[in-house]
Amino acid sequence: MKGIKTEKTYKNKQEIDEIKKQLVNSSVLVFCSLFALIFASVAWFASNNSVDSAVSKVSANGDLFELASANGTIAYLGGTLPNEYQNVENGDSYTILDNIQGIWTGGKQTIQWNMSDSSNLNNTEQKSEGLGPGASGQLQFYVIAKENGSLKLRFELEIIPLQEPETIDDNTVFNRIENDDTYETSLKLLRGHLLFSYICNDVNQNALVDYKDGGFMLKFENMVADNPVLVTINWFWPQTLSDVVEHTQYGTYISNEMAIHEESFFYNSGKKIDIETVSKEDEIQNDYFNNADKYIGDNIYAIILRLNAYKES
Amino acid sequence: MKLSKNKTVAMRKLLLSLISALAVILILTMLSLAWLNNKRTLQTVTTMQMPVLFIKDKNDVETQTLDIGNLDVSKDGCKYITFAVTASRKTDFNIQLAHTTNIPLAYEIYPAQKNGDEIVVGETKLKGSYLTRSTHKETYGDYDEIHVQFNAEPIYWQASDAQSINESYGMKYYVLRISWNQAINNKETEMIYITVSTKIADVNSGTGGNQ
Repeated sequence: MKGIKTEKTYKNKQEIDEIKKQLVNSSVLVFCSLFALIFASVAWFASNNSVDSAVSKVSANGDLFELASANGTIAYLGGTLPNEYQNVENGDSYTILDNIQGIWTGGKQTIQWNMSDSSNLNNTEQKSEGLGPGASGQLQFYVIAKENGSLKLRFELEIIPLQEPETIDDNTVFNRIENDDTYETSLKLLRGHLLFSYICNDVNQNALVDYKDGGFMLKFENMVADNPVLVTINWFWPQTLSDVVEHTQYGTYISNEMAIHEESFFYNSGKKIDIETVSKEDEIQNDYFNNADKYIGDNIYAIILRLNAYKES
Repeated sequence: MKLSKNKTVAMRKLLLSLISALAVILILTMLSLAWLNNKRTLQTVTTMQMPVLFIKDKNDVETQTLDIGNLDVSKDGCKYITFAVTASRKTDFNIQLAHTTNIPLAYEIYPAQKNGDEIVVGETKLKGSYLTRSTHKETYGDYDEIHVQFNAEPIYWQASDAQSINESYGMKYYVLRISWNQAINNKETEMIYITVSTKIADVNSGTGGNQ
């Protein structure tokens, strides 16, 4: 009796061991393929070029929104951009409204943002003097829902500061600011001085874009598929501390922020600045504010400005 | 029988792992594509315009002062002073002239060309206008007009058209022509400032601050 029992349990144990072995084998296989897949996906995302054709094939079923830009002038920089920002495609023609022609993303990830007369970025071939303190302007774009109903979008005004270009083999090549500290400081100050606000009448919104990261949200309630909705972005680079403190829409808010996040608005040779209350008459504050502009001008030669839109669930 | 049973079990396990692997692949693909579908970007570029402006004398030497010397007002006359404007980068700029009114002088600025050592004065002077005395408040704040001697208070003239430098360190020459009619000489001193700024100020708004 005992003998038979042992044989049975031994055989079961053997079976169990075998099962265990097979499970381990399969798990290893699954994990390996998972890892390989993740690796491949990351590589796929990283190389945007190869992504494009796949996206257009997919676009037939299930893109939830597109962006459009009314016809205008293309920005001109007179040199090549860093690789990651070269994959800007030509937007396909799109009739925005009966009397407004434009281009749209139509399944493409990144297209040119056309400039209008009121853009004032001075980045066209005809007028290329660029941005500086005391300037302001307006950028516009349209959101096109592909389905009826509500649509919640998260936007990000991404700014990439570029340093003075180099000439390589007769080509002008632009690069991001190489020094990490300079990159961070100049971008932070630029974001604090180049202020954006967004207006969308359809959702009754008129507010300041977050100066720290260029982010803002729009929740559209009753979108009609293929019906473009206009969003206007007003930008303003104050000449002086007074100009921003006295701004009717966001002067009070920014004044408060300036006393909390001094590093976004003021500069004093890299030293820490402590401000209790912002006062437009304070000479030192005015100096630090102007020094920030000087730091921006000394270190940033040009910027890439991207409006990124993400669907939020 | 045992053998086939093991085989079936083995095959079932293989099938199971294949299905789970496939499921994972499907989920990841859907996630990736969903992620891609949800991002759209509009891109533009622009340069930072922050050129540094310099005023130089007729010998292209950067200067803070332009020597006018003495003016003989015992008879009608005029004097020409050459100055140049240059910028570290291509830019537009405004020219502004501020002066006291102790001596009855007339001021005109003419664009000029430099040919070798010679300065050739242009025919047409720069158009501009005196910004009105509304600048008193901006310059002096609430300081009473009674306490500032009228002639000691500078008045501001601004060219109505923006000037431009078309390339880095390109030079633009100008000649300031000061003219007078015969006047009584009371040994007065006049203060004259020439200012150039990249802020394109609105002439009509009367903002005449020094930049």
